[in-house]
Amino acid sequence: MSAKKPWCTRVTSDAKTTHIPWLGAAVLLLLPVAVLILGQFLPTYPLRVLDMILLYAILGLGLNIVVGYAGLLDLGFVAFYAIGAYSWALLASGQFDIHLPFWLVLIIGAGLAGIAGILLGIPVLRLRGDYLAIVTLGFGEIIRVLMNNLDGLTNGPQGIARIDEAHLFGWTLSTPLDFLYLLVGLLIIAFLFVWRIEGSALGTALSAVREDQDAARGCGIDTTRVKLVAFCTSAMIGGAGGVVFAAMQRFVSPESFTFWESLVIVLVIVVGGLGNPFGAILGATLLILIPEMLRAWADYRLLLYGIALVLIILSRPRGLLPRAYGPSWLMRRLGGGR
Amino acid sequence: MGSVILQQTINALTVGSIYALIALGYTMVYGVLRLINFAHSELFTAGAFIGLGLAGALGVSGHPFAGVLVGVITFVIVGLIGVSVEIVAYRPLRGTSRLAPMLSALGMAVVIQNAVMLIAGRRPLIYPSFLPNGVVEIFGAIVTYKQITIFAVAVILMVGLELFVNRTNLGVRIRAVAENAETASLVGINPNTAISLIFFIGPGLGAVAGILYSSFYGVASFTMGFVIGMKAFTAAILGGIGSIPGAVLGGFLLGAIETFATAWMPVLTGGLIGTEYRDIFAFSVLVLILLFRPAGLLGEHVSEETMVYKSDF
Amino acid sequence: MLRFDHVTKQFGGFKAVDDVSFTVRPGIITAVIGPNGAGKSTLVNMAAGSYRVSTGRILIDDVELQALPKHKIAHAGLSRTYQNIRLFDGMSVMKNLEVALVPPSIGSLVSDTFGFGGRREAEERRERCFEVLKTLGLAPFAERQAGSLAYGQQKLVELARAIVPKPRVLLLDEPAAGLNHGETEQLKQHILALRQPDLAMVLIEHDMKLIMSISDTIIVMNRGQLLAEGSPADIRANIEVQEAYLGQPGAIRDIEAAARGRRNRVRLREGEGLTWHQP
Repeated sequence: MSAKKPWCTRVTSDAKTTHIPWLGAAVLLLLPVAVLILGQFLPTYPLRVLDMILLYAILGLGLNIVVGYAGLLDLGFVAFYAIGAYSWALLASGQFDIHLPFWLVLIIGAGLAGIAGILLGIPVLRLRGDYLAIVTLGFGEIIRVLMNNLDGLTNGPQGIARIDEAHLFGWTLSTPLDFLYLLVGLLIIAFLFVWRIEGSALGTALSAVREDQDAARGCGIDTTRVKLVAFCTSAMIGGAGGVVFAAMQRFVSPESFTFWESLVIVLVIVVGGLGNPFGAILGATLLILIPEMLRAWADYRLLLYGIALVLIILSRPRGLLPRAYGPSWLMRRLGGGR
Repeated sequence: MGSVILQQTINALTVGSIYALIALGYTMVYGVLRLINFAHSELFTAGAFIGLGLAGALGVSGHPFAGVLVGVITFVIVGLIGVSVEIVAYRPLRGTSRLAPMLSALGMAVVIQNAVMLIAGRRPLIYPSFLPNGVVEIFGAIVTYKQITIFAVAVILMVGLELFVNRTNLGVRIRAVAENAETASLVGINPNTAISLIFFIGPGLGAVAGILYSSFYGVASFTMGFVIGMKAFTAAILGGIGSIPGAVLGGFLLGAIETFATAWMPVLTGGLIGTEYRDIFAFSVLVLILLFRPAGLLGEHVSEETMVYKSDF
Repeated sequence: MLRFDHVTKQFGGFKAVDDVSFTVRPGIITAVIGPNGAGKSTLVNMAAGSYRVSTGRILIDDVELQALPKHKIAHAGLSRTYQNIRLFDGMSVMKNLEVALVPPSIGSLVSDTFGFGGRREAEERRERCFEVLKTLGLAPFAERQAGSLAYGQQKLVELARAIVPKPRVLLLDEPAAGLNHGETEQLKQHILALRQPDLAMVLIEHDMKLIMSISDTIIVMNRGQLLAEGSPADIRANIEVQEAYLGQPGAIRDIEAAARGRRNRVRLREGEGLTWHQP
């Protein structure tokens, strides 16, 4: 196990003082600042790629709650993402001539996705995890088929175009750089949120569910309910990501929400490192950048992508940044305290 | 009216045969390794295209006897691909976590699908029919020879598999490993042999299903595996994953549900739910069945205490 | 107080536990002994909700456990350890203990996550866990991964996890199995120190020496039925028990003498009389 490192054997003092490791906090803050500075100098296209990396990092953080912490395989995450995207597309466009503000739709999109998560989770989460994998996969397809066929609502395969420009408290989000600011902000929020979960009682309960469900129940944990909370939270992050995606593209169609998207998000966290928030960021960077770099190979792109994935998983089955090397570890290393 | 139902039953049996053949591959792998072999659906596609390539290479066109020859060779080739996939992509990950091999399988699915695309091209190809032509009318229902052949081939293969697993020495080894790999290795059975055998037979059956499917519909495209594979896996769960008779039952049942639902739903709902929802009937049924029979129809009866595994992945 | 009321467990046609009734009183240590297959573990697993009761009732005071889902049994005040260690291997020792204190309601889980006043309670929970670790001498391992500890230490962590929520009934399923002499001695001290007026302890063990030295009441089971109940002295004296359990009269004394002389631990299996278990 990777966690058997000398610093882990040190006794935790039972001192109650909350020591803030300034160095660790500084390093964590430096990263987004660096990204924002980098964003000032990038031309439009690389900036769009950077936006996509951040968006996938957010989605990865969300999915990580279910896959990384609770240890359940969700192969239909794109459904929640799609629900969010269509929320913005329907509630802020000429489709029904509804034009709600961005912040409100962000909440509505996340809320609808969360409700969908609960409705899907209730029948399935008490069963084996494998069933969850296949049922979520099926759910992703159902949502896509619905969007393809509910012509009156979604315009079917043509999708919804001419979606409103997003405004956030008087600030117009139009250029990729605007979205970079928004995404960096959302990523920080999602990161802190997920990190908080990890350290909280909910995180402890989720880890116990992942390690040994039966013993967890013996310890008084209502595993079904805890899984449901995880599933709902993760769906909400997916929904919020979808709203931002739709606002960024200003066009949505069912084509953007295929199984392939779910797969990419799962791979983001597996390649990066399950249960590690840094892993989601690293994974998103690699999985968005690699296909960009393979663009020159055109037709061979996906083949090479597949091979790269198998090789990464074979060489690092626990991901590039294993669970034990998360933000808390960084804080311990750099903070000096505790 | 009666003849309409009969007609639909026959259509259901045809689709069901194909689902069942693919479901067998999923269920056998799952039974032994508790792995969802996502590459299986792409091996089904690969089987169809290899069959097509062989027909061209051997200079045989759509003739039933050529079909048997092509079927056997394809079975072996795809079987060997299946064995290599297991050795390369799954075996090194055994014992790490349950998630890693499953994702490796997803990666292999991408690799195989794109390899097929690179060789055969993006556009769907017209498929020569290896199945006999002609129709026969039974009580007003029209049955094509193709349908009869598909059903017959599927039944022969299933009976063969059943006999192999239950009556032969090798089959007993497979069952022993499926039951408990550790105990099996204690009594001198090498689990790897049994696992390789499973990865030979499962994809082989899937490949034959690919040829039958493409022959029936007359086209083959490199993306056709995904949805069919997903439904076949659903069929495997429906019947009780890990159970060979369960996969067969699940396959036929799913074929029936889909055929009848597609035919009757538009009528029953006044056109509100049309045939375009064909692909999602399967999942709706799956969720309903899981609610009432979590272990599937023929799965081992599980009480609450064994329902929850130590950890899911 | 834990009460078994005409409890029967049937596996197919086999009655693993057959109409067993007894009461485990708080403040004392009750040992359940018997040969393998006597139904001891089945009894524990039924109480903890791992097996469903076929007929009969199991109660803590007036709460019927057999009707509750497993996690609610824990909330009703029952904790257990397992015959085969079941720790959360990938988590730290501290986290393993914290699992047993996770608040049951969604509301408190959510408020804990967002820190609306949940911080204090979280801190109190951690203090409680650390306190237990200290009493069991596990404090130096608090941040170690549970799966990386030695077997004996893992057994102790499991005990710690069971007592952290301050249970009213504690089921110890073969706590000494696989421990060496020194570790068993240590375990014995810990168990004795746990004895409190409001805690009912049930001990399932094969180590006769340990049982005879720490239990206040012994319940003897054989073939799913209750054979005898009494103080260690009564049981020792009960020839019938010795015959049923050990296959020969006077065996317990022989075993103890032998164990003292050879400093070996003794394990008993049905029909084998006694076997030597090298530490």
